Amino acid sequence: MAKRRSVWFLFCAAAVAIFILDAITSVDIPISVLYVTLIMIVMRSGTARDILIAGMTCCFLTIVSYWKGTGFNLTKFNEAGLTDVFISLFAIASVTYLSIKVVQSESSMRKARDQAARTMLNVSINELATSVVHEINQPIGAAAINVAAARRWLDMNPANFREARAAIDAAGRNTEHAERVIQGLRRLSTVSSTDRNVFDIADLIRETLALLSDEIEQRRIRVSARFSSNSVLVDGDRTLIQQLLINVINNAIEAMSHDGSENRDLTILTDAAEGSASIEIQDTGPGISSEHLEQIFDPFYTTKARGLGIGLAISRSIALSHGGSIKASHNKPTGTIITIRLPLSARPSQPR
Amino acid sequence: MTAVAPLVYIVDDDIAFREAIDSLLRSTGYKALGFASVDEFVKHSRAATPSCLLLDVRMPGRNPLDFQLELHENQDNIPVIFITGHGDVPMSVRAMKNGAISFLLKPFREQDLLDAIRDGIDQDRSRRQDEQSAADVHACVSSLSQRERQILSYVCSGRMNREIAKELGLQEITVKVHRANAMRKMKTRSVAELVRKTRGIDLFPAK
Repeated sequence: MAKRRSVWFLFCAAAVAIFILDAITSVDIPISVLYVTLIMIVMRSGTARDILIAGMTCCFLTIVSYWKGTGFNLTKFNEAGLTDVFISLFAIASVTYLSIKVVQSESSMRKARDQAARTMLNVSINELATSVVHEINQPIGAAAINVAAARRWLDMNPANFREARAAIDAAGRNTEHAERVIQGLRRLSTVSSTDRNVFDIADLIRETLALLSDEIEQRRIRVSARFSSNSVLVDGDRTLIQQLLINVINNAIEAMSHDGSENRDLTILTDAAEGSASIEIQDTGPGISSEHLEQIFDPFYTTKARGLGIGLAISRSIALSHGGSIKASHNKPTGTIITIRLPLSARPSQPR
Repeated sequence: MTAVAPLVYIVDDDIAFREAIDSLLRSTGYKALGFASVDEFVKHSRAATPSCLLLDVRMPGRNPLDFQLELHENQDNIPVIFITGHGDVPMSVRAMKNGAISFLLKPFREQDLLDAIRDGIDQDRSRRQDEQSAADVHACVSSLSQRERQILSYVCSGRMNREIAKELGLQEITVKVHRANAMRKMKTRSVAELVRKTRGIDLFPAK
């Protein structure tokens, strides 16, 4: 809303300036063509209605200034002035028309993108069902068997309490595992949230690293975060983007947790360029073969023995629903780099 | 129960599941050994005790259904019980056609699993006994002399001593002595038992 108000304020100021300029200069100079810049300003607010209002206002101002040039006398014609007016009106009308078209196609593009992100989540309900059934069946089945085993150990004569206890403990771990799977699935449905705000990505990364500090310490991973010298402000759903970061960083941590991993360096870089914030998350794990680099974001693609393969798929959905992107590339000498791009906030970045 | 506890091999990539089955089987008096993959199981040298194999249908690495066929081709008769998380009918049909003891859908009742395992172990035990007795008979047969084999083949076809003596041009007493020796070597007391033991066995194997 604030953005729209500032656009209209700018519009009014520029309109007055052009109107005065038009009024004080000779009629022969087609100052009114400058009105097209006003349309460009309003285009930033992004709605077709606003652009139409701006276009009509500009036409009105052009006519008024011509009319003023003739001393408000409808019978008096100024041929050069009239040509100017027609050229200006034509220019304003065409720019208005084109701007509306651009805005409309942008909004339909955004809609298509949202749609794509959503469809990707619903990709294949079959695949999801199969995967979920397996992933939940496994721990629940194990829990049931453990309980049956515990009953047998207790029914023995004499009862074997130690074995029974161990089986019950195992059943507890099984149900906890099932719970974790269900929690993960629940997160899938939260991706469609539209709660947007502007925040500093470096703050969010620091927060996320603090959240994961136990994991990081446990696996003896060295973290180095190099943030851009200017604060990088991102416009989006903070909770979802944190979820995205957690998924990607967790994957990086897991990739470096194999016994053989010597170097365990997690590097996080942020930068802002060409209207988007980029976050690079680099690990020194075994890496991903080139043919699988694209696949890792597909739902239900997993290289882990356990897991649904939805973490990175959710991450991609989050990035796409924000109008951003996520891609994977090779790190040198080994490992993977995940690059996330998110739209920068329209608010200019301040130096720290 | 025999002196040696029957052995159940569990091949499932889910360690939690393996451990659960392990506890259940031990509480029932079986010994259990877990493997994370078919390849790991193949590398393991198996004990000569009655045993059966519990195979998860869906596992990374070698396909368990193909592995079942491979076992057949290698004349490995270990009874196989499949467990699966999906109700895949074609898969279960294929497994059963290839001689699986059972195809259990997770989650299953413990009793269904234990019944299947008991069937599997029983089948393996009787197969082992059959193989053992067949090997014993072969050992007995190979200790027979050429003449004894000749006489036993006549005995088995129901000939009297006198007829055999006449046929082979021997004294009846000689036939009697050979016959008694042969029956002793075959660890047999009656002609009926001898017939049963030597059924399907070639008394005159090609040298």
